[in-house]
Amino acid sequence: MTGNVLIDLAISISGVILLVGLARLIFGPRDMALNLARATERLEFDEPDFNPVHWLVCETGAVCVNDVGEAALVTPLGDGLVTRRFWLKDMRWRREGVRLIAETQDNAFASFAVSAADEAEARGWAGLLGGTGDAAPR
Amino acid sequence: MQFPDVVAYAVPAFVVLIILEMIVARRTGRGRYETKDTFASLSMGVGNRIAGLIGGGALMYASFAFVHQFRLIDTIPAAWWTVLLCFIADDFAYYWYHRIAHERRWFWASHVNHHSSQHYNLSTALRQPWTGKLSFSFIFGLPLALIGFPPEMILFVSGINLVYQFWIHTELIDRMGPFEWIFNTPSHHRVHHATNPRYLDANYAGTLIIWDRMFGTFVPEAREERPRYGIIKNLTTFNPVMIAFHEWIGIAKDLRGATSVREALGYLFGPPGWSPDGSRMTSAMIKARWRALNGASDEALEPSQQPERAGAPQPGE
Repeated sequence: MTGNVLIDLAISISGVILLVGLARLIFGPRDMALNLARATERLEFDEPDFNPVHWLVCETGAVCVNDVGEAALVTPLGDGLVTRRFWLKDMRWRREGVRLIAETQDNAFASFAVSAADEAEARGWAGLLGGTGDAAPR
Repeated sequence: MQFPDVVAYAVPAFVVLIILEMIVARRTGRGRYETKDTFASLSMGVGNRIAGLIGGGALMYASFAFVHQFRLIDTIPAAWWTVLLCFIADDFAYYWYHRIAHERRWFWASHVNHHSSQHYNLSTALRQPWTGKLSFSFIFGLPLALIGFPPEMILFVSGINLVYQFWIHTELIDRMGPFEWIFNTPSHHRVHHATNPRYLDANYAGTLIIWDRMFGTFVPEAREERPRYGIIKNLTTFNPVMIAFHEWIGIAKDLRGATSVREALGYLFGPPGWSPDGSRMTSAMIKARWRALNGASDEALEPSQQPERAGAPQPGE
């Protein structure tokens, strides 16, 4: 690389730092607080034919299932939300206490976690999602 | 005639305009910047520049120069009117590149980077792919070199086209009256970045919107339906490296699981979302689902049936 190229890059990186800093200063942090209303609204836009039967929502993620064996996942990203829809048979779920963790085959949405209110609810959801639980979700 | 690097000259103006947009957006509440999203977009812009410097630009120039040896017209002078002709021809080529970049996964794998933000502001304009030239997206410009336009002139006009497209990435500018009939505008381009089914695969223009009107891909921005930006399957990361390569990784995984040459070709050159068993959604399938759920007639989605295609102004303009 020539000196001019390095100067070009140094100026570009300085510009990035300046503008990101200004964005932070002017708009502040804007992380999305996930709740049922927001998750439902986003899912209705992304997957309008998905009819959720049960929802499990926490601040960091939401999962819902329909009655044909699919799950929809909702996760916050910055000040937005991201959704995915999978067949339950294509997902691998595991439970760690109240946390339910999923692995998917989508490399842009490879992992997902949601927390239940208590272990009983987590067990119920684990059963619904992975077929190994012992109670229906509330 | 010497042709300057217009993009390099425009960078200071980009910075000033982004700062101005931030201030106005904050004061008016129209449009917004999210810190990590801004970082991702600008980092993609810097990465695009680096990719050009380490070989992409040279590959494109060498390809133009090679084809130019076989030019059909030997005497295209470097004059204002030939530059104008070259600009229009390049904009036409850009329309087709851009359309195919949305319709074929090989080119989409690079171009998806530009659409991966859920925000729409001037920083989004700089969210440029790192792999575009390496995936030969410039082949759509080769006919210009074959006609006889000098490679330097083609690079110059494509730079102007790129600079033009910067300012249309904003929510601060509403409709622009008769200007909208001929030129690509913020309103037209908001539609292009939207994931609402009625807006999918529309408004591919670079500078002149006339190509979309001519080839049936024009869709006006509807007052009753605000665009929602991003891609059909939004990313869960702001990591620029993942943004740059996620679709290529997806292609590689699909190819590994392909069971026939036909499947492999489908994954490479089929429409984004194509799968052998139809289990994934292409944009055509998403539009069909939208029609079915909303009872929308075909006319609601067919640009050729829309009055504005003829150039008539929309109500409220």
